[in-house]
Amino acid sequence: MYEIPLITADNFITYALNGLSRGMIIFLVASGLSLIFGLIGLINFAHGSMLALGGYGTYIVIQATGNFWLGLIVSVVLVTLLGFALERKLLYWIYDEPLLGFLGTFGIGLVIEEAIAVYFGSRSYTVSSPLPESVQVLGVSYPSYRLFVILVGALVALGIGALLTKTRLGLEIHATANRQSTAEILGVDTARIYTITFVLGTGLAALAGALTAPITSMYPTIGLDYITMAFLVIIVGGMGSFKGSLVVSLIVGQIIAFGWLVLAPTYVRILIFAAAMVFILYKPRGFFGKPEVHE
Amino acid sequence: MSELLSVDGLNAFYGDSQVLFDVSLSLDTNDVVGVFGRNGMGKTTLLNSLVNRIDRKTGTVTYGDRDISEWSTHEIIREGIAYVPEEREIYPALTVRENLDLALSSSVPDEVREDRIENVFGQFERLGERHDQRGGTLSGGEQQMLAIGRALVTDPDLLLLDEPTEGLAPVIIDDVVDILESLVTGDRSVLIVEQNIKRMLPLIDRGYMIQTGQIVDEGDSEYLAQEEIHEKYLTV
Repeated sequence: MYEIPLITADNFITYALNGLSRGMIIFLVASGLSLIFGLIGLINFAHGSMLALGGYGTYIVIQATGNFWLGLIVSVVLVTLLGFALERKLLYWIYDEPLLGFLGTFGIGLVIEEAIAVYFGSRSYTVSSPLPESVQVLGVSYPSYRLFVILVGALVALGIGALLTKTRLGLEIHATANRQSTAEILGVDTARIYTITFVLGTGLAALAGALTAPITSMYPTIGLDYITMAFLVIIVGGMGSFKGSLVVSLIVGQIIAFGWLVLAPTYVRILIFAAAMVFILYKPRGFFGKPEVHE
Repeated sequence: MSELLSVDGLNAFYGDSQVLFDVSLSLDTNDVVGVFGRNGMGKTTLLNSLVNRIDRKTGTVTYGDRDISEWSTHEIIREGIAYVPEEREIYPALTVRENLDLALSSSVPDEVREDRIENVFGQFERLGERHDQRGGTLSGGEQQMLAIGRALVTDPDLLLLDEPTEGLAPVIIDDVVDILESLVTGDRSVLIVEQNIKRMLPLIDRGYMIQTGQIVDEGDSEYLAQEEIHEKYLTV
């Protein structure tokens, strides 16, 4: 039998903050995936490779300049531009063919993953934290960089929430996601909305990759690990639900952080997936999934 | 009056099925024109074809002096055409105000945008009273008003109306016809497709009869009022 370790209040706060920072990274990946699926209906298997490119891109720039922040900006911008090119030149033409979309993005993901493996080899790389000092949080000394990740995640959540609910673009995204042909007869350029959403989702994956580089090591299949967790998050959260992605990402982050106290990481993942499967049996639309709307 | 819309040799397809066959019609500035026919004759497909909301079509659609045959739907709408679809297609989760706001281009300045929406509320008081109510909670008649208001808020030069009385209770139809009467006297062109020719005749200048995807007859409202025309083309 496992012996449940007793944890102190200080440790509890540390684990909770670790869970929060990990949850925010998962949220960045899942929210992008959810936006793309919710609007376009595309199951984007290349999404994880965008995270990997964000991480490796940051690493390359750090090697060249020694500046993490420059690496973060450059890699996010370049991966976002790659997302723009992919959407315009390839994916846009196969939106009406879900199987082609699945195969196409799966293929793109494989190519990027293999390209990374060929260039960098299979060994993992680490990036030094750009904020090495710690600060006191609730009486606990905690790494500044992880707090920075939590802050970025929270700002992105607020920003996207505001974008979707308070802006003209959000209104057009809602209209396009719910009934594209109606949005068109109201003068909405839905192709433009698709592009903006895909690019935004890709940018969030790249941001997640860049932010995670100083926390975990980079390896060619890192995107696959995150995307499986992100798929779980958007299914349990409710397909296409931004709020659901946030809530479930934070829950999963906490399960991982505290689960590692008592179980090996692999078993924690198995536990999360098993729990998700049981949950979906009882609530197939997830936490915030809406029933079909009959207009 | 100058020609506003001209349709020449229009053929429309859903997949491999051809629905419209060599349809030609025209509409002048400030003209109110009806297209009448039984269910399944191609009326909705005709309007969908005009705004390129269809799988495939051949033929030419000219609006003003521009050939819009190959334009995308939103480009056609932004050119000054508004479309009220048969099923209304309002967004149930958006409020009445948001449904109206969505139809206005983002380039419309805020003060103009507000004026336009208030004008619609002036025209449809029930919508004004329910401006913060979600579209999905409106009655059928109110949803039809919202669909028409959503088209009018853009101040279009040409209004396309697909069966505006379809599926409404008789008392609501009276309300909708009253609204349409106020629209057709305005400074805009209107193309209405309908089965209910008797309710539409007082509104139109002239009309076409459509049967199995082909224009088979046309005339002014006096000609189309003849009972034998109704029996020939509209009686099941």
